[in-house]
Amino acid sequence: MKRIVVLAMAAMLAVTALTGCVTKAEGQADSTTTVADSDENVLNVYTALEDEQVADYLTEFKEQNPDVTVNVTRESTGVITSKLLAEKENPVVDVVWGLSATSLLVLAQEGMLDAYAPEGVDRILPEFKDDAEVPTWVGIDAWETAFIVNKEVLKSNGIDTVPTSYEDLLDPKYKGLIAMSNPASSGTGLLTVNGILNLYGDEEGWNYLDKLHENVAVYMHSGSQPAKATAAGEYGIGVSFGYRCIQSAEEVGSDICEAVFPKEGSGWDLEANALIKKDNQKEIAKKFLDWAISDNIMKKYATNYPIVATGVGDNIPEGYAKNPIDQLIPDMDFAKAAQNRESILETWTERYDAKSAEQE
Amino acid sequence: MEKLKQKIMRCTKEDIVRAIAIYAVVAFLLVFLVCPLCTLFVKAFQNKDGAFVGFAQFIKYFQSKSLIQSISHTFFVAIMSTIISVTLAFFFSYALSRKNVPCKGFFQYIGMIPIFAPTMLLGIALIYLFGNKGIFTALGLKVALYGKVGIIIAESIYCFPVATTILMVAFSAADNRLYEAADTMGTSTLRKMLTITIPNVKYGLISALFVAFTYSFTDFGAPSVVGGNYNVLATDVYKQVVGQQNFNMGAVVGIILLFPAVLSFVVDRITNQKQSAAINSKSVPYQIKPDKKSDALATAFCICITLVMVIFFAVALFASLIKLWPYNLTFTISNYDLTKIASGSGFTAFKNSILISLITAVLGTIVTFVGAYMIEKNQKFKTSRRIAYFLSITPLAIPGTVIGLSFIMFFNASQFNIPFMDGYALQNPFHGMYGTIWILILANMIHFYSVPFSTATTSLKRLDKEFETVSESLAVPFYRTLGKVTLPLCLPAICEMWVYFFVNSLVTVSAVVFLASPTAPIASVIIVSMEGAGQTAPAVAMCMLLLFINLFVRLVYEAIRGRSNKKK
Amino acid sequence: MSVNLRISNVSKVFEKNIALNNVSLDIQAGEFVCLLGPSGCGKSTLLRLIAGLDKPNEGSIYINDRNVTNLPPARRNFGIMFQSYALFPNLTAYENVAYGLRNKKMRNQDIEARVDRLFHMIKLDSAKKRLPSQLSGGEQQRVALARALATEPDFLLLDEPLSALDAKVRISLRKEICRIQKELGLTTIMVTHDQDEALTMADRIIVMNKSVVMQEGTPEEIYEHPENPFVADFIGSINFIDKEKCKLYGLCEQERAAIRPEKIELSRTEKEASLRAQIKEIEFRGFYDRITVCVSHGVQGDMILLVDVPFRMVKTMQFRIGEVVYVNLPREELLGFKTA
Repeated sequence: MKRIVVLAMAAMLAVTALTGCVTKAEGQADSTTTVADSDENVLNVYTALEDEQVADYLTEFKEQNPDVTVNVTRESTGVITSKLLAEKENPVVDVVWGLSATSLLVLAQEGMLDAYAPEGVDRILPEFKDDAEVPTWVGIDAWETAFIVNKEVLKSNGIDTVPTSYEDLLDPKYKGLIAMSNPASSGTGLLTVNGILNLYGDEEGWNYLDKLHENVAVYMHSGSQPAKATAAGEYGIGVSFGYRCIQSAEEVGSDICEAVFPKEGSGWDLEANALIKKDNQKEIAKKFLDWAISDNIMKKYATNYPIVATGVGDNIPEGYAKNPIDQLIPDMDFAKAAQNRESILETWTERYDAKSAEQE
Repeated sequence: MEKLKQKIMRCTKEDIVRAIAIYAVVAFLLVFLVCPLCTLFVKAFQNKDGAFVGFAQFIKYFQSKSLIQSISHTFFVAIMSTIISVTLAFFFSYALSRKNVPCKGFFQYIGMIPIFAPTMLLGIALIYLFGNKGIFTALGLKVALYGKVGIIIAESIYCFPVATTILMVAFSAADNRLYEAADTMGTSTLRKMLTITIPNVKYGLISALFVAFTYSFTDFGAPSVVGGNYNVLATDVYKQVVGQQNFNMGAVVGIILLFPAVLSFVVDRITNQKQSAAINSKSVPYQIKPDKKSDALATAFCICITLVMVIFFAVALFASLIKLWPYNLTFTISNYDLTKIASGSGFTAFKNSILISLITAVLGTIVTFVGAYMIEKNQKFKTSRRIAYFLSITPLAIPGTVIGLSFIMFFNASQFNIPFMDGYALQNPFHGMYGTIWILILANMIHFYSVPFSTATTSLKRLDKEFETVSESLAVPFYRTLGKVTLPLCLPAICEMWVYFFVNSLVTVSAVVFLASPTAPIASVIIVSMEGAGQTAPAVAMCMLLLFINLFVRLVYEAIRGRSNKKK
Repeated sequence: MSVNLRISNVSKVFEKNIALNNVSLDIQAGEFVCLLGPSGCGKSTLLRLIAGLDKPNEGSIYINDRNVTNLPPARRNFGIMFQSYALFPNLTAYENVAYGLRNKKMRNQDIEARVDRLFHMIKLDSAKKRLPSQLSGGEQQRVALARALATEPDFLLLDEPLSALDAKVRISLRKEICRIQKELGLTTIMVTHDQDEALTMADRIIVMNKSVVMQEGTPEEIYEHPENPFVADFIGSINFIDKEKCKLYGLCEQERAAIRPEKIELSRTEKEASLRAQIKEIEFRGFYDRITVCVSHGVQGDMILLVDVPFRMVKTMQFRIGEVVYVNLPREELLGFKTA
């Protein structure tokens, strides 16, 4: 008899466990994550900043907040953007740090960001933050298209000129020597394409990209990868961004590699921060955003990028043009770029992802 | 009802323990294998908003030229690497099992190295060897590395160890009497090869072909490094899911990836049964007869293969120890500084990886062994046992990519809508695991379930099936016999299972690449993202660390096994 | 304590295959019963049902008149031995024997005393410390017997315990088992397909074929008076003579007759009722010769008979192949069967 009682109890337990799982469908979406989320000692961050920079920047925040565990996911802009969009209903992270303004505008359009004015936001130049009084996103620095040229590789291919403009890249002698980042995954890739479309206009711009495609050997996952691979001698020219091109060229030596900013001007974007809209916002997230534009950290940004959100610093990092603002293509419209992001990527993927495959 | 009552009354305490154990294993597999796969299937027929769209996603997929291209690419690459790796493995294992080759153990171990490292390492080593600035390229050996060539080379090396393992087993099952009979009839060497050797290993060969095919068909690591613009299905899934977070399209590609894997699984099952039927206990083991010329040839071949392996891993080691390839070759160990890489989470990732592998190995071994024990050494619960067996061997047919995808879809959902009951939903009790290391542990346990399960089953089958009967007659409960007799006797198999889980969990990418999260970063995924950011040297260093740990674990295991063998 | 067993109208079906079809048996306390039959006859299934390892689809099993049909094996108190010995290879002989005792709440010194006594009984005192792999097959089986007896079972089940052993060891172990069984007066059921084993060891033999019991009786009864052609044929050698030949040679009236080869007399001189035959084959069998003769009577009447001639007679008679001899089939040794 005892056995029957035990088994009946087990069965009842199973049934209650099951029914306990059935709830009203509405408004419960993230009840299960609540507990973990409200923990003020854990901060989840998505970033598209460069790997080595993140570790360097974060030291200070960690010193100031020793009890806080900061979980940083670093990925290319495209990946971070898609991740955020996919997690719209149930956001994992608390803040976004150093993601392209274009992407943040996409998120803002989706209503995923909360407005927040971090401490010292007044110091940020107006063109580096959202227009609203309480901004939804606040920029920290700008980055721009640049080339890295491996002169040694070019020489071994019988070329002794260095391309200095977009136009130069179309020269048939560079065929198969160019590495570029894939705009679908890389923010650098996207701002380069946006810059070209801005510079040439839509129709001419796509024509240019068609021709460029003839010379491109590979489209790579991240913005850094073309520069790194070119510096390692795998390609002759890497279409990447300023910081990475200069840094990689420096690493291998100026006799081998050289960073070049295209004559026509560089496509560019802002790296910016934002607060994710969610039910259980943490104080530490706001504290992080305050810190992310504090004086010390702005100085650190400035060691890597010539243009930071408080203006062009006095000590322009080595390798940049004397007036970095002049290098940027004027009138880049981020709002428009954000609106067109999906269609541009679709067109690009259709044209070049498929085409590159067909050539095999 | 009265009957049921009687049935329950008849249950002994042991029966209840057995029932709980077998139902627990079945429940484990149902929840973590079947449910996620179902979610994947459902997703494939939905659009982004979760509305049912029938085959619309499939149609969209098959209309995209680049994605279609990926299918033929994947087949081409997989078939080529299968042919190459199995051919090489065939001669390698033939030389090692049928020829007088010195230092067999050494050759065999070197040939196994690739399974101890993530596949990205093979791709990266290829760049150092055959890239634009590669060592062999500098010596004048130019190949168009990026694309199919690179993938095929890397996959061939990746598949080599598993093909060798299967073929070694097949070759070891020869019956010497057949060769003696042939010799007395004056049969030529070639004729012996064609009429005895090849038919004898036929099923092993088929099995090796299909396993190698599945491996190369579904691998993600190598194509992500040397694939260039050459898209294959595994990288497509990654692009769709990680790059664009298009889970529905990812699910479609996942289902396409399932087809060849399921096919090869079925073939493997059939051949397995036939292979075991072909050997009997009366067979006499093969006696190697020395033959100077062919022995020398075989040794030379083994040396060549070993040399290739050594070169690959030596180059990788070298790459991890220099500052900047190819322009600054000064020695440095800074690449191994885990605190500096991956936004400072390098060390955490490394620690997590080891922790995950340890937990996976312990839990996986327990679950698979209990499962195998309950299926093998049990008279009751026929249906449950049959279901459990089927579910236990199923993971063999599921590519890691598909497991990763289905896991992310299953665990990410906080609730499932119940059909026909509007307004009510089933809360997902496992949602809390999302983003923790437990989802990774579970994925690994499921992903690598089948092989240790088979190991356990084989070793249990080897035990006298009357042990349990004797214990019952002596009124000794089964768990006592399990602890006192069965476990000690299966200990070598259990160690092997443990090592298998550990080694594979440490280096796997395909499943976990979708599951690692900011809160639980792991080494193999960090390697992928570092490689994607162009940080090749630290990526190699991380690969090497994983390789060293695996080699260490394996060596410890071999030492223990060697000692216990001696004791006997 | 010894028990009686009753198997009452038991049937067992395995996925459409009938393994036992309405089998009933009575086994007395202290009796040694052999279940004898070809493979697949259901004898092992019956043993498993008695042990409780399987459950019958129909019918009941009684131990000492208590219905145990649904009792699990652990509560039936029996000892069991297998062809494969099934000794735990990682435990010493001593630990194997003590295995069932360790689970009972027994003091260590009691266990020791009992195990020592058992080793003494199986005459293996020196082998206690050894692992099964260090023992010969016969020794292993003796340890298995000691293990089965350690828990003082009510009855003993032996599943072809001697089949894996060499001929000589087998014969000595037969005696050993019988001696111990008689000593303890233990009800014992042994499954075997070896007729010699059954004839020499059993108090009673139960011959089974195709899921049913063909005949039960003492070894003598089974050998001398088989009730049907199957039993006659399965145990020992036999010459069958069909109805027409019976009539032709005036042997008997029944459907089918049979005679054992050793009962046929062979001579060179014609006697009353003896038949003329020619020697076709002579097979040397050690202590007897088996001679094949062909009795002929007209064209269709050829009848092949096997005749066993004792060694002494072979020596004196010196039969040759092709020789014409006379065979005598004593009417009193002729077995008649009502069915073909």
